[in-house]
Amino acid sequence: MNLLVNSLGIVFIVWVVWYFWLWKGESVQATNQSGVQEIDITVQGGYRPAEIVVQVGQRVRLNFTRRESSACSEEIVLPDFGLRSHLPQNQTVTLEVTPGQPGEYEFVCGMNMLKGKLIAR
Amino acid sequence: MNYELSVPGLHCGGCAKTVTTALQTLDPSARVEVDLTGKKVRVTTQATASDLHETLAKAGYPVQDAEPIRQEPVVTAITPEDQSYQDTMRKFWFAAVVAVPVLLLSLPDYFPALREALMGWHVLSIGAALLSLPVLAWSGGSFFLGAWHSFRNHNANMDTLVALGTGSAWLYSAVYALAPGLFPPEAAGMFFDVAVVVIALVLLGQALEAKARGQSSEAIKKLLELQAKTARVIRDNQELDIPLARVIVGDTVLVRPGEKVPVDGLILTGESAIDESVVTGESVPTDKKPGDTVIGASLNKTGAFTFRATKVGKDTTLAQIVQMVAQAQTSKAPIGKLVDLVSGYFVPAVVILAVLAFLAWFNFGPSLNFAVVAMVTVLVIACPCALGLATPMSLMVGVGKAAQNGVLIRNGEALENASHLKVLVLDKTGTITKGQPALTDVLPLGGYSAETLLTLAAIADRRSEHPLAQAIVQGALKRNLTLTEPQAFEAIPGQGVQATVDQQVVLVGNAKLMTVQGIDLAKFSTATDRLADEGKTPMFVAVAGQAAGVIAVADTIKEDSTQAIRTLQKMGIEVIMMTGDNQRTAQAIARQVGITRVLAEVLPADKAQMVKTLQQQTKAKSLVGMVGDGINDAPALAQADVGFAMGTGTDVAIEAADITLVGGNLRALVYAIEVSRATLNNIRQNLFGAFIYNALGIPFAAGVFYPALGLLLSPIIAGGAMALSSITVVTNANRLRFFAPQSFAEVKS
Repeated sequence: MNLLVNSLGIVFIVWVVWYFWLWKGESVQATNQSGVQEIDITVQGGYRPAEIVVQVGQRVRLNFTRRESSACSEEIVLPDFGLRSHLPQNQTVTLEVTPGQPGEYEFVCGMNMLKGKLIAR
Repeated sequence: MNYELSVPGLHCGGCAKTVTTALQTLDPSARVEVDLTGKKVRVTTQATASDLHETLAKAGYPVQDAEPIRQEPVVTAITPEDQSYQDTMRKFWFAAVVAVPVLLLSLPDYFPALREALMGWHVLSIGAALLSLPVLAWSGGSFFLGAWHSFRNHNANMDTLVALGTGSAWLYSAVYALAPGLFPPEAAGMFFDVAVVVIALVLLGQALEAKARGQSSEAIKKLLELQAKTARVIRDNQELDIPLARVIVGDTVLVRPGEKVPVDGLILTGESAIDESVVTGESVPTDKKPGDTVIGASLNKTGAFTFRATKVGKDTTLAQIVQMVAQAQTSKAPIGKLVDLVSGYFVPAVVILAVLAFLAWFNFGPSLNFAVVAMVTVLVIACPCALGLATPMSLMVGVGKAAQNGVLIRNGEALENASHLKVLVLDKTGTITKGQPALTDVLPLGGYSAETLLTLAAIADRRSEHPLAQAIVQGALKRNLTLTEPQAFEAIPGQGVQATVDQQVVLVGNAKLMTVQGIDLAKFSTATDRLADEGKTPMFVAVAGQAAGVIAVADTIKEDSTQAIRTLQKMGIEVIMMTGDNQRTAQAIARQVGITRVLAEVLPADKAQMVKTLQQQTKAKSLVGMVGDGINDAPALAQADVGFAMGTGTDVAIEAADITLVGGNLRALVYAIEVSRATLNNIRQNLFGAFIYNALGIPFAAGVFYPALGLLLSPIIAGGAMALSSITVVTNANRLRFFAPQSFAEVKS
């Protein structure tokens, strides 16, 4: 019994490390129409997609839709662009940014717990 | 920019298509939504309001009204009227009410004697299980859902901790209630009360925190509320009251006493005193006359006037300030970097610690239920929110507070650097001094009275455009002297003027003029040395070939400069003056304001290099700030660790500057540094509090102090502490709203 509980505990810890820290999501390319890149992002315990590949120097339109009542995700912040916005539940909030340099631009929740990023190439 | 346009002509799908096409021809990237029932068009576009009006009018769908939707600049305030606040409170009350019977039913858990007395006590516990279930499902539903959603995204947050903590407490208890036989006798115990009370406390904490956070963004809301709602414009000789959004550049706007100036502009007719404290933080009204600029949202005090609108909508000074403040409030301060790093790993790490605590007590502790308590307590005491809120909340309040007092801080880094400044380089002209020469001394010779001397000199100088001559004329007018026209006038470049006043030849100019005209300079000499030592420029006056006196002109020191410099020095900052002027003048001004270190005769192009040299000279970690007017000094401002620009009038968003002092005085500089220091202190307190809370709370919860001290935290207290910790952080940040600078007042008295 003891052995079983201990083994389960250790396996659980290893799984937590793998699932939350080592797991890598896939990146998605923003669609491009008449010079504006656009992507719909679902906000629900995180950002789906959380990694978005965009082109440098072109406007990116991010449509955030928050599909949950959890207070954790009620704000969206793009620190590199100085944008912060409230995300009302089940409404789409559009933020526009233009990444000027190649690199990664984070978007996070108000408390910096949920993270996503734009990868400008 | 988002617009919502009210278009009464919309009634069919065809209209919607026409409108969409028209708008997308104007801006191909525009996002258009047509709401036929509300007869509204919502547009996201780069185009201006007036372009939209024109386009839609041409397409046959005139717009009734166009209010730009106010961009939510920062956190939206949660008021007691808000739906989400009310929902949370309703869920809280439900949990709180249910908690009473659940706690009563759990009493036997705390008093084994009671347990023995009540034979059927575990039947009661099934009652507790059933009662607490709706609390978990409804009141705590958002935690479980939130945890599940994050889990699917490989994320973990506060929801995860609350859901795991209360969920495992309930599950363990439920299994025990149904099949107590499975557990050894020492593992007796149930935690339904823990699940219910923790959910109630966390919900209450969330509601209170949301309310407090609303106050943190108060500054920007207050700024926005200062706008006028309507403007009275004169179009085709008619006075029209129109919404603010409809005012266009070039409109003539009428403002009456007691009204707010709607947009930025230039006065055409009329004079008034205007209270510009909204933008400059300066509460003394400024006198304005035709040709002067007015700032939107400032308050017209005394007279009626008309002005031409020069900046409207998002270009106005107020809009730029709001924009800049909103941006600064979202920026990060370097001090928060560690937290950013920690917060990504925090929740999974807490989950791992909770499992470790469980295993430790399971293997070496007194009982299984002890292990469960330790695990649940670790899960519910850890507070990622307190960590995450520590820096942004203080930054938001501090930056907002600064803006209300005419100090615009570009970002968190600027604020942090300003709080560490050890050396401040002040440009002389326009920063310490007003940058405009003014009359200071009238020293008559040869029997002339001061009044006569000044009158003669002013009349002679009247037609000269030289700033020094103008200073003499202005000085005479200020003393209510009557100035007639000179009979003859000649400007002698590089020397001064020669004029005929009352049939006498009057010479006003420098030493060279006197020498060339054969006037003995020795007669003037006693006064001139002293004047030069005081940093004043002497102007010699000769009447009918005889020395008549000396009139001194100097760039005057701004009222607050001396006080401000003394305060800065008291704050432990070395103040250095930098100027292109000669040593003598520079030293004179420096002496008057109490500066000992002077860098004189620095060419404008060398200012940045000078700042760089100072940075290399000062010890590591002491930062060098530079204060200048933002135009000539731009490279030096950019080179400094913190560049302060003296803003004047409507010129608020000075690119090269990290911090703009809108009021254009050094008192604002003192304020900027004090508010930066106060904000950084506040951040430190918050970070320290949040780190210490978690660093002590988690081991305490895990039972680290149990073997030595016999102390184990109840999960209920842990849940309360968790709710309290984030409220504490937000409340502490809100203390900054009442920040009042002390030192300036002290030095003055």
